[in-house]
Amino acid sequence: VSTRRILIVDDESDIREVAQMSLEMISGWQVLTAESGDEGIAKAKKEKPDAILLDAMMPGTDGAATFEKLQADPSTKQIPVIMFTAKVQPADRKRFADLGVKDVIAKPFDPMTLGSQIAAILGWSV
Amino acid sequence: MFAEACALIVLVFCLTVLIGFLAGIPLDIEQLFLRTASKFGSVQIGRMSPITAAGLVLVSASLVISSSARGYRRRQLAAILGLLAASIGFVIILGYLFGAPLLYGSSIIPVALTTAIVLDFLGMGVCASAGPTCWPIRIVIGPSLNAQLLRGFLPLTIAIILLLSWFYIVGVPWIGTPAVTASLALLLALMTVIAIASRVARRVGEEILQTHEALRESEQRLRQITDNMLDIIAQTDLQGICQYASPSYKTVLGYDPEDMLGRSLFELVHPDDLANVIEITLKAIASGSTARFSYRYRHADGHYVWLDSVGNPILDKKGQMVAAVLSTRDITDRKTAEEASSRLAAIVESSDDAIIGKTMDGVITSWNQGAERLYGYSAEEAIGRPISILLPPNRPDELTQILERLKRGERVQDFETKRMRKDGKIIDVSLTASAIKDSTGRTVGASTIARDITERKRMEEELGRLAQFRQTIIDNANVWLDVLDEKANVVIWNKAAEAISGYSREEVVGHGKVWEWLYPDEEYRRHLTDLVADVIQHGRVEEGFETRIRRKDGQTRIISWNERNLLNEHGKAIGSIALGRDITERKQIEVELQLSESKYRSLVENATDLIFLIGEKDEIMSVNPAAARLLGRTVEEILGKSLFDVYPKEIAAMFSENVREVLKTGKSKITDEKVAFGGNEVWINTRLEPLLDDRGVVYAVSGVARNITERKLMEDALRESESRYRTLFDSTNDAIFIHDMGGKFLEVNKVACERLGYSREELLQMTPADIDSPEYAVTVPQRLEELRKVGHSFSEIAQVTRDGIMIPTELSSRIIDYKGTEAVLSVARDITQRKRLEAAVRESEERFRGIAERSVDAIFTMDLETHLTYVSPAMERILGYTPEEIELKPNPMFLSRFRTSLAEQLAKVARGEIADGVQGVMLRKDGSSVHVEINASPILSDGKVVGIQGILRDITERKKIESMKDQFVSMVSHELRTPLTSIRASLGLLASGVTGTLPEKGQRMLEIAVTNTDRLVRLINDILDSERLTTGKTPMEKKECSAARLVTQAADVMKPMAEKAGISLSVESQDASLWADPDRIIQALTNLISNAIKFSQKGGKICVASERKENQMLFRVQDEGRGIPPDKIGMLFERFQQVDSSDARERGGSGLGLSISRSIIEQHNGRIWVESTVGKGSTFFFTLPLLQEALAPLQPEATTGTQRARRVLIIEDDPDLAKILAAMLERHNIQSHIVLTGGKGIALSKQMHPDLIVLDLILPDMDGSIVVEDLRKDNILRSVPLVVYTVRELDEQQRENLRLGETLFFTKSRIPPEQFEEKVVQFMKRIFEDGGSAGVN
Repeated sequence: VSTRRILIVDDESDIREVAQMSLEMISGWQVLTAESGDEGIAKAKKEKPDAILLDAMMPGTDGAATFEKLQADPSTKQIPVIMFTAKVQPADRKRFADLGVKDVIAKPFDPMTLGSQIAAILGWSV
Repeated sequence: MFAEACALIVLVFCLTVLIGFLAGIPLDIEQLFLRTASKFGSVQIGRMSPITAAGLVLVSASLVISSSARGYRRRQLAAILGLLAASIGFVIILGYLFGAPLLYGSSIIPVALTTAIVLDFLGMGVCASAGPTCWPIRIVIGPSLNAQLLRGFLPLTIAIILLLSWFYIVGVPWIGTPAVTASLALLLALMTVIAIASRVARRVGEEILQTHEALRESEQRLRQITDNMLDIIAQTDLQGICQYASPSYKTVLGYDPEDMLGRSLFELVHPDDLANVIEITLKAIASGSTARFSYRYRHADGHYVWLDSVGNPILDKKGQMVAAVLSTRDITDRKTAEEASSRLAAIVESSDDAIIGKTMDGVITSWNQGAERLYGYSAEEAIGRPISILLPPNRPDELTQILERLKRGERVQDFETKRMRKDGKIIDVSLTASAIKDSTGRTVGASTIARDITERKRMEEELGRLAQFRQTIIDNANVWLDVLDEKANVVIWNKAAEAISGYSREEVVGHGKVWEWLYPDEEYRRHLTDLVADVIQHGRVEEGFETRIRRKDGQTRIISWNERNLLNEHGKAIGSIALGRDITERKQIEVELQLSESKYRSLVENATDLIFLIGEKDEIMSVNPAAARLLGRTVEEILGKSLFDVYPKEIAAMFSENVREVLKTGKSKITDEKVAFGGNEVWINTRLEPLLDDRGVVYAVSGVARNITERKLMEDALRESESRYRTLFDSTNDAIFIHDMGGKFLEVNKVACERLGYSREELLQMTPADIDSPEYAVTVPQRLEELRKVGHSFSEIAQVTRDGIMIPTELSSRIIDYKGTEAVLSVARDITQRKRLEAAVRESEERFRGIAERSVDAIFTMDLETHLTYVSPAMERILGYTPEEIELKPNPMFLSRFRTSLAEQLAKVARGEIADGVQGVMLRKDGSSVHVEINASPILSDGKVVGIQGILRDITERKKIESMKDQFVSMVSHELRTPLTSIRASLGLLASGVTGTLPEKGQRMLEIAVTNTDRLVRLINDILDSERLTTGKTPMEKKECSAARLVTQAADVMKPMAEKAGISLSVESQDASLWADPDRIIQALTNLISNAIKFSQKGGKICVASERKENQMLFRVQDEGRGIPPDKIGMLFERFQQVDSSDARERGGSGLGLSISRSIIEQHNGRIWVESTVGKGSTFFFTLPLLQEALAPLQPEATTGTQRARRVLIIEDDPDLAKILAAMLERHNIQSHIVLTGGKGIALSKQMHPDLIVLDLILPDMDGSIVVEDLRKDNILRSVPLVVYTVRELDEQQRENLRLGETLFFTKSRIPPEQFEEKVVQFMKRIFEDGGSAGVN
């Protein structure tokens, strides 16, 4: 099994870093990062990651808008997206679900289980 | 008819012969007639040849057709048939001439030559009779050239042919056999010649025709020109005889042009002009040149017109004049104008008045002899000089003014002014000036006519003085003075005449109409006119005759006249002078004296009272008819009789006694006596008066007697009623006073006495002012005044008792008739009690008002129609409207943005309920909005709602703070979480050792950091949850769920934590369906379990259970922990409350868990509580309603068997929700059909015609509004009731677009399914039951 490649899109560099560390060190995956929605879209097109972990609240192109753009582009349409957010009220979850994301992972997250959560959502064997 | 019948018989007969021959069957018709032929044996019977028959058939057919038919074509056919018959005959003749065998061979049936000749002529005859217009005939006898030639050549040709034939037969050798050919060639040649000849002839004819036509047209044109000329055109010969006259002869001279032909034109010339005309004419004839002359000519109606003629000669080929053309024009107008102007010039020149012409700048252009005489300048001197030489020095502007007026088109008439003569003398002149205009109407100058009026002026002044003198004399006479001319027209009418008659001098002088006004009666007037005429004509003097005049104002006056005539210097009567004196007053006095006697008599005669005069000896001296009538006698019968003769003895004696008393005392006497009269008791009122003679001695008694029985009875009745009234008067609870208009008490009742402490007698000496308290005593006159005006009054006053106690009194007064005089009846009611109550109420109201007025919140009251009846001043502060404005404005309560919901709430209050915490947004006066909260409750009176009272609080500030708090919380949740996320993740990674192992103590520190970070995250989550739940921000997403599954799920979540703490977690669950938000219930359960774990010792047991209890589900979380002290239990569920403050640190709780749990349970209509024993453990309970209960706030309606189940169509894409709605409606005997898409909904609606449609707006295939639009097209479905059940919030416009029949709108978030059921069932009940027959189908 080749290594999974995950793209983390988050404007908070600390969170990008710990999440990257968690996925690289605990799950042993390859991690790409982007610090804005637009950069994320560009990276996704170029790198074609296996999944995208997308922060919802970002300045400029926010999570929802980024997701819609990814969906609109045939080259990125197939990439599964998981929302990564502090907004976890049921209403928010429903809104994201309606958009078509795979699932929502709440912040703060547990670095020890982040990889297994993603794997469970996407049906990947660990 | 007969001719046709004969022809028909011939036709039939011959046809029979022909048919017999053609068919080969001899018909032997003769056998019918000749039965006895055999007797003659050898006699040969002759037969008709078929050719003869054919000829006869043609002839007879032609006859039938021509005699029966009128049409041209039929007759043509008849002619052709005739010709055919003739041809047959001709051919047979030819056959005989040329030898039959040669022509026909041997088999021919012979026809006799004579028959052929007959046939020939018969055919031609028939042809001719068919009509000369048919072409076969026309060819021969018509007018065309063809026909003429044919007529000329055909007999000759035929004759030649016949001659050739005969030659051939007799055998002339040089002609030989080709005779037939020759005759045919001859015939052909003949035809050709005819054709060519006719063509040539026609062309020549056409040319001739064209020439004729051109000539005619040219003549016509010429005639039209002369006919249409205005001038008269005439042609005469040299003797003046008219040969042509144009139609204008008629218009100008009135003669018909035809009549003029042949007449001499000279005979109508004016005799004076005739010689001149003839002379000019002769000269013109002699020279052959043009002549021109003007002359008068007699018009057809007799008057002469001026004509101007120009005569031109007409010459023949040799240049000899043979006639003349006269062109004549009517010049009467021109002639008349010329004459007039020459006449005018003569007049001007010979006029006595000065006539001066001048230009518009005042230069004199003409100057007549009159001007020379008047002004002294000669024409030579004046013309060319300015007109200003005539102006006196003091009037320089006058001329300009006159010229200005003339320029404006005005005329100056009889303008009196002064002018200066050449010798410097100033003279009075009267000027008349007018503008002189040229032919275009432009003013080119002015003419002035001046007349010397110096002498006239002097005379006028003299006369004026005389007249004034005379007038003064006449006017100052104080008798009516009028002077009339001989026709009775008024000449003089003096001031006295004006005063007496009422007509002014201006009205009457100059005519005689005044007599019609003064004497409107025609007969009376004629009588007077005759009299006056007599005076004037015969010089009679009338003195002292009286007339009645009618004044202008309608009054009648009587005038006494002296009148005599006026004579002129020749002694001829020229009028009359009359002097009149008004004697009306004197006359009136005379007349009144006469009348009074007769009036008095008439009174007595007609009086209904008995009037009589009785003398000293009881004799009746005079009596009126009424008195006589009473006795049943006439006046004559009674007069002179004794009283005792006519009255019953008793009455007579009584009368007699009274009469005697009056005779004796000389004083009048009035008696009321009851007498028996005619079997009845009668009351008689008698008034006796003494009559004195000249010496003052009584000599008789006059009496007036009246039957007063009726009045007496009335008085008795009155007395009785009065006593009854008295009882009433005394027994009423109110004090009653009657006083006269002066204020003196006339009557008081017992209550009045008792209340005031005075006796009746004392009160009757007093006036209202004595018993009213001082401040009211002074208003007594004012009150009396009002009473007089209005008739009644109502006032509140205070009365004072004898002891000085004030009694508030309500006084109702009215004017009554008391014993014949005006009096005031006052009813006084003691209102002490009422006043006290009122004061109490006022005080309480004052208190309330004090509170209300000072309240920060606005306080208001309304009536049941929600019209504001009171608002406190705070309302102005909150809404900006003053209390006064609020009454004028539409009720601002309803300016709320949530008008409808507020109205609903107020309606609830009006029904007696209480509405608390109604929030909404209202509009301030300045248009800004304000958040308000209204608490309203009913105002009760005797248990009935009479109004609404409420408090309106401005919660704008609170709302603002709440909104700020929401923002803050939201911000915190995000801003705190972000760094926490990094911290937590970093710590986690460190603690996991992936970054390298740490020393044991470092590892421990890291674990502490991780635990506390988790706690901080939980705390933040709990604060958010708690906030959202308590403010109701988080709507519960309720659905059907299983109680057992909820318990298991919660236990599964908490199992790791329990295991970690070494605590066993057991589950005991009963199952049932719940109507709940599963996530939230699990949250509540996990909160409770987590608490239990926290407070349990290691090795302890926790039991989570669900259990069905009656109609609800009971959940239980039981632990064996340390328990809760009773004093802490009460505040356990409050926020940030913990049993022990140290717990927060030790147990890692936020202090919000129980508060959140309670909010969740309460929002499910459940209850949460705890039972605990210190040291033994605690059990937390909560209940939730079962699905059936949650959805059944209403009991199903008992339905009657006869009622048809109502059918509802539910169009809803969520199948679960649809099923739940259907299940709810089923319980009310309502049949539901579910469809998940709009398309199916429309189709099924049209098929089943539901009684009601429930519609979701967001449908997979279309929007609900499209469904509505489609259903509106259906006539029945258009009015079906509709319930729109949607997540959308709809504005008014959107709602309007969604209405079908009666339509309700429910928003899913506001109306949960359980309320939906209630509302829909009520809605249907209202429509189908209250609405009576409103059944749909």
